[in-house]
Amino acid sequence: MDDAIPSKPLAAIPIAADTATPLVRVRELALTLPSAAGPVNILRGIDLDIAHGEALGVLGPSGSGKTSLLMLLAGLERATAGTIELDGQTITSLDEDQLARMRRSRIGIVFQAFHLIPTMTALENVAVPLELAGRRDASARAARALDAVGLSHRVTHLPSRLSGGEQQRVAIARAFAPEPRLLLADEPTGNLDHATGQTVMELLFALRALHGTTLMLITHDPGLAERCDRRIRLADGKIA
Amino acid sequence: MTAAVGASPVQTASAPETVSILPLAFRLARRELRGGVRGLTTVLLCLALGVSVIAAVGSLRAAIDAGLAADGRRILGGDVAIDGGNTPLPDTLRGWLRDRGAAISDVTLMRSLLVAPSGERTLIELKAVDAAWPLVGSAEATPAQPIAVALGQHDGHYGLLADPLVLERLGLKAGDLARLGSATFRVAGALTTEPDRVVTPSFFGPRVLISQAALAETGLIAPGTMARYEIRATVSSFAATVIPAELRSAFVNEGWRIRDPSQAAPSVSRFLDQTSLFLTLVGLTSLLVGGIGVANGVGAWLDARGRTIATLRCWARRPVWSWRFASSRC
Repeated sequence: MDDAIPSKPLAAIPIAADTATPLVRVRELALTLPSAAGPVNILRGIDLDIAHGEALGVLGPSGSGKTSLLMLLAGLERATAGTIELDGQTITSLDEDQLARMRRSRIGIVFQAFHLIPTMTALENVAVPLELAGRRDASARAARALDAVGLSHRVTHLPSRLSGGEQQRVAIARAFAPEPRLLLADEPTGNLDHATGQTVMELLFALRALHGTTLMLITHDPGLAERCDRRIRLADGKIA
Repeated sequence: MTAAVGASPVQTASAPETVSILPLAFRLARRELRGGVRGLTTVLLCLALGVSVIAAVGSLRAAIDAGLAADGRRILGGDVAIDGGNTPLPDTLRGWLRDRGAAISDVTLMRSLLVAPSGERTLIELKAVDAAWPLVGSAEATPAQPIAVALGQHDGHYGLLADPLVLERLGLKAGDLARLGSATFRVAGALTTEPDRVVTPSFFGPRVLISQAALAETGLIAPGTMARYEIRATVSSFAATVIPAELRSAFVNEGWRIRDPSQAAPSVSRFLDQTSLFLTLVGLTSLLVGGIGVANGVGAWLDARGRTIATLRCWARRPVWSWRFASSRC
């Protein structure tokens, strides 16, 4: 399948991060999960600010708590202690419905495993969060988002008919289509070969730059992390 | 390539416009159905079979009940039937009925042997009727003739009408003689239509019809004879509703079986009850199997769609497979 990047590469526009008023403000964040062997401390008192427009690379060994941190920021996991503020709003006190509303308006998520809905076409996959948000122009916006990732010729294809790179590009289009303030990416190239991964990351950084989206990128690749404005390393549930 | 997804790079998603909830729900359902309903075929078949069987049994039962209700008088042979069992019914009963303006008909039923001149014999279900029979409906014979005339006496012999099977089995034809008990009968023809056949079925042999007067000539009625005595009566439509109850209270100690048209064919009703119960159980079993299939199907569907549901849950307020998700969307 066609994994070629868009014919006109998007220019990576440097964004000046606004550090005075962080978009994300994390304080004393802790996550403890039960297990047969007793409680496991996944995150232990994380303090973290992410500025508006900043790209933050999160590095760390497997099991260090990177994905858990992303899940907490996305409101997909409940913190045991601490607070998370997104754009001035404390999300750790929101209920499930409020979190869902917040996600579809302010947060885009790109997973390693794409998480496309297998019974929906590329266009429908991108349109779903917009439709659930009640946008009448969901389909048109989804089409534009797919065009932006160079997949305008694949809009009617089901995920099973797309290559891994194309699926991840659809996932990126889906994440960007609602114009989120914060993009959370969890090893987006983890399931892709090196060349395709490069293509996908070029696209992701270009779109982020174009939209001024704040990015938190979890990666094992130091080279990829180098492209971010700032990097943190997690180890044993703490920022090292 | 168009890179711009939205108008403003950093703006928050604008306030959602109102869209219709139902179209969205149906749109999502339609997309989900692309996964196919192949796995549900067995379940759907079970449900269809179960519902069909129960509906068919119910319809058949209703149709037969309606038929019995509509033809109850004809099947019973009157507005009321009094079955005395093996005991002849007394004249006091006949007088009681006549006092109430009833037309009555005596019927005697028993089993016997019909002997042809050739010596061939066959077991028959003998039915002796009077000239008033049948009170309701009509009996027909071949060759066509009035029943009373066919059974009457000619040339010193009473006539009999027999089921065509009897005539065929004994090689008899109209005009032949045959012996029944100690009397010789003239074969008047074949009995082709017997309106009260349902309540007087021929279990042990084909039917032979003779007159009550002829029965007395046969010598078959003797102490210990296994005969069944019945009286049927027709009354005015008003009296028909009260006569059975009055009969029961007037002859409370006689031990007779008194039936009205609603109880014309109790054995048929009993058979229908049992058959419909059995078939309904078959249908319910199919539905049960279908229900288990539905449960398994839903479980398998949820297992297969777990990731999809989790993905949708990122944006939807309530579980997206429930009806309420759409209504609580905003």
